[in-house]
Amino acid sequence: MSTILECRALKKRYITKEALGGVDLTLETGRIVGLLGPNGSGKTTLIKLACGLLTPTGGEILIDGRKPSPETNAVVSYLPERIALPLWMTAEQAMDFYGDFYADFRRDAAEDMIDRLKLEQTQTIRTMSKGMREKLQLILTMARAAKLYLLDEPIGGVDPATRDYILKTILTNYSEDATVLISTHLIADVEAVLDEAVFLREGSVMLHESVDAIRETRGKSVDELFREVFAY
Amino acid sequence: MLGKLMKHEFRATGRVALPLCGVMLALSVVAGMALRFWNASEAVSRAVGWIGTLYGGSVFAVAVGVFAVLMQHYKRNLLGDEGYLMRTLPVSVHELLLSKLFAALCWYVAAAVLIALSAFLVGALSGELRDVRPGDLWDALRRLFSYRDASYWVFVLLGVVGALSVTTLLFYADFTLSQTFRKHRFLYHVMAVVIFIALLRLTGSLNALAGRAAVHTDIGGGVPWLGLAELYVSNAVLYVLTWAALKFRPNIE
Repeated sequence: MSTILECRALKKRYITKEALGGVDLTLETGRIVGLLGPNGSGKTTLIKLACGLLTPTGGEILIDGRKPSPETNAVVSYLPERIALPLWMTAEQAMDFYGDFYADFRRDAAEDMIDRLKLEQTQTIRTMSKGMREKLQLILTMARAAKLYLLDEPIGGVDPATRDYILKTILTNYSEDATVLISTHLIADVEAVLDEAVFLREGSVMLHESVDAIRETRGKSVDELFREVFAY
Repeated sequence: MLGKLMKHEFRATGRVALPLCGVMLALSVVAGMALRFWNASEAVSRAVGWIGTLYGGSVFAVAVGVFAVLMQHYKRNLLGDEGYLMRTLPVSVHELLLSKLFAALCWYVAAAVLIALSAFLVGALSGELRDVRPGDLWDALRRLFSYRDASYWVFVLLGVVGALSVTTLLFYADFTLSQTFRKHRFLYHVMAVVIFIALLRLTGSLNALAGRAAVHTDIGGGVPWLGLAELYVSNAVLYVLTWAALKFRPNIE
């Protein structure tokens, strides 16, 4: 195993608020990691820093040993928390787009998943339902053979059946050597698929342990521990 | 990657700009044919007048619409939700910015050519150009180009490209810089426009912004290269400001 993501004293400050206050975190390859914390704990900020959508105000973040850049974007597959696909595109054009820019895009895998959803490839994204748009964006993200998948709230705001579909899609499509970082506050839904859990609170890492260790040493599920730690 | 970005840029903007151009060309054909019956009767004359007005409106729609489409696409594609996709691509900010600028320049040229073509169609189909021989246009162009030496025409070309580019970059810089602020964006938006125009005026480039530098020349005193240099310095300043804002303050809505 090698390190795919490393944060050293990573800080991000907005004008009036400190979003991350010196995060130290190392993620190894081949793991599914839950980035867990309540709203406003810094999950999205950490993911945006890893994608280069934000610049740190202190410390550093390294992806595969390099600072976020076009080179690291080639090995990171990012699912934003909102629909980023141009609405005028059809599913087919969206696949063309991914195929043009990402050498690791597996078009056959994407087509297979789209067919199974019974989604017309010629349908524009604008005419799809919200749930269908989210599924298409997930399919395109997971159809890449990336080294690191950064999934920001992939199951937030969707119905339980869609949640199951999303988690199944993640599990059946990521490469064994890749790391998947899933940001969410819906712990119970993702717990079964996680290898490790990272608890974020007010911009700091409170806990980073394997899910097995949490269960064995603390005798609790991740969900139970989360509720205990973040109780008001 | 620049070529791929431009391909998708043309695809995204062309879906609105091309129909606009298509409607204008179709109306130029209809207007040209209709003009043949201008004096048939009062009712027909009125109808032809309406068709002519529609054609004029379509020319205006192409001239203004293409620019509006390009600016709106820039905002949505880099500063709106689509920015989450575009700005995590394995491409540099330079490539993103240049692809949009080059595509915009291509669209301006295409729109100008199509507007000229539509005017030619109106003239040809209405019969107004029946006395014009095919060689006449070539002769007219040859006379125009022999009017001044090559350096003048290089100046004109660079002036037109620079003026179109600086106008585009002015809006790119304005949108991008005002986006870096979380609050009071409209205020910063207005301030940015005022400051940029003041700076351009200061460097004597407002003439260029209005497109006049391209055709203005000091008759008998040679080509005013210094004015052109100022225009390109303005281009460079606006480009660097936009690039820096995109790279170091990547605030997406």
